[in-house]
Amino acid sequence: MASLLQQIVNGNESSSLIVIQDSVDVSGRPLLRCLTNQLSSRVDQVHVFLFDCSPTVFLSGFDPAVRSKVICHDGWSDPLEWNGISLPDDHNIIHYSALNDFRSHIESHMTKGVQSIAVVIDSLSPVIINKSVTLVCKALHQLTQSTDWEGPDISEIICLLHQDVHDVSATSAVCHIATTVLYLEPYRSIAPIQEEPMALCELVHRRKSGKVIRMREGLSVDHDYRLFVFPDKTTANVEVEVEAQPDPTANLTFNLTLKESERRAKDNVVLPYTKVQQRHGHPIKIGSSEHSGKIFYEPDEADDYDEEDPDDDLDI
Amino acid sequence: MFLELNSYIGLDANDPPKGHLILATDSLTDGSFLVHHFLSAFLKGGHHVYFLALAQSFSHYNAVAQKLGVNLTSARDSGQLTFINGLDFSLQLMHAGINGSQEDELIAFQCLRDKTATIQPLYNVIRDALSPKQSEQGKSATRLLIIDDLSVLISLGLSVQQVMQFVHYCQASQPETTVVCLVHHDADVDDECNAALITQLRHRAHCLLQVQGLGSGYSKDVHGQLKIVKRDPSGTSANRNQPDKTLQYKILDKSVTFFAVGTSSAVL
Repeated sequence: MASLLQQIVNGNESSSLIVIQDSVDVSGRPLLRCLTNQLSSRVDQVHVFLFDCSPTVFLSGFDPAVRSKVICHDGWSDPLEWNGISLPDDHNIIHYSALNDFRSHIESHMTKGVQSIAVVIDSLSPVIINKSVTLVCKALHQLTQSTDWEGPDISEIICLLHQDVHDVSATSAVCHIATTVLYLEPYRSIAPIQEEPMALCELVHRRKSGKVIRMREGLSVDHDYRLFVFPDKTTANVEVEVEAQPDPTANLTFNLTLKESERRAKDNVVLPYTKVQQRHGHPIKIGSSEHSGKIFYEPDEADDYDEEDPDDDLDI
Repeated sequence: MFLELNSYIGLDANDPPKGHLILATDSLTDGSFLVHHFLSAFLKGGHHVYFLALAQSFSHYNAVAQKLGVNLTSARDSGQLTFINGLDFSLQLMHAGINGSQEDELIAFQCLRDKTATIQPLYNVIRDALSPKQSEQGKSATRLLIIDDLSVLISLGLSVQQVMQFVHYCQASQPETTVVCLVHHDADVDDECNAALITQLRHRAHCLLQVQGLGSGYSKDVHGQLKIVKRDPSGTSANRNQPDKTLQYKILDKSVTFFAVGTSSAVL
């Protein structure tokens, strides 16, 4: 069975909102680029919101075929309107002051006849810092819920989030609305990336059925944005062979086991106290109602007897 | 200029990378020798250097550069170095408080007086300095912006968000310019602002130079250690992160010697 991460990346396992959480030690951008590359082959248009990366840098390194499907929304060049002049560029510029949701930006740059689109956001962190978590969560939720949306299908939304620049409440708020969260951790190694993972990924995936799957996998992304998945070593090696314990009874000078004849002889021995019991004529039967004791209790005046709680163990 | 350091960082002074962010941090020791290094290395390489000095005066940098064999005064006169004296900005702030009649002109640290203002005026100073002059057009010399240091901005009372906005604009408006900035963060002090600033900057940095004091305390022969962390924030190259290098150093009168950890001549 292909790994879950692989299935999510190539679209066999559907997930409407994927959040990649990275940190300073491991960048989630190679994985984001890999996902973008894969998405471009499945959908008609990929809308990329760039807040942490300039469009030229982002587009460099992609094939022309991929580039033609990518539509950049530039939140990098002039998000605060300090430069005042709009650059003569084909990337449409986003200003934080006008940014209330992502959907209206997609709407205003939609070409007709497009059937399905995907949204990539690199990254949510500047928006969370400069706007607010509430706005980000609302905007993402609005994208995933397409009830009053007349445009094409949004098949997938992928966001990058730098988890170490926010407090826990912000990251967990975003992760709550995500269907898949990929927590990246560094993996130190000097082996080629095809042989050992670049990073470890803790994956939490919520299926539509409500089943939540947690997995740990290693991953690498190469020049062509191909993904290599590795089973996690720490979980893969759980089935370690139990080392055979040395048998203490192996080389004894005496015999611990009985032969059949010896056992019969042992069974025939009448134990000493059996005789004493039989002498009284009444072999004692334990547990029979006839001979077991019974407690009669009459409550006196000081007792606060409660019929509903006879043994007084309910804390009312 | 410390040639040794260039090779450790993997920086070619004649053809420096464009559009990179180099972040220098120091903890429990002084990392400003890195600023002097970059200043003199780029000037010697014949590149344009824009220097935003918030920590020291021009004469200080000039005196140090002279020891390293670079004349800042002549570099400034020839236009190769653009020195922006950040110390003046604080003074402006005080003067503006005294004679409040000149309200019309925005001062660089307007946001410290006015809570609704942004740090845009400071960026405008940089932008005006960086905008290509008539004489320079056509030349494609690499440009370097050095900021010494960002912690001063934090200490003056700016928020981490404002400083990040400033750095973002310095980077975004000049995609070809390499930015070097220094941030102080002492490990033994609970300083959330500088720590948060470093974390946010590290997400963008191509190279992090972490100067640390020795854990064992002051030593006459080893002044500290330098950790070099190289990253690719754009995620375009498919290589594994290079392993971090840790070196120890000793600052001499005119140079700095670097050596592997534990191999100081005084120890061996």
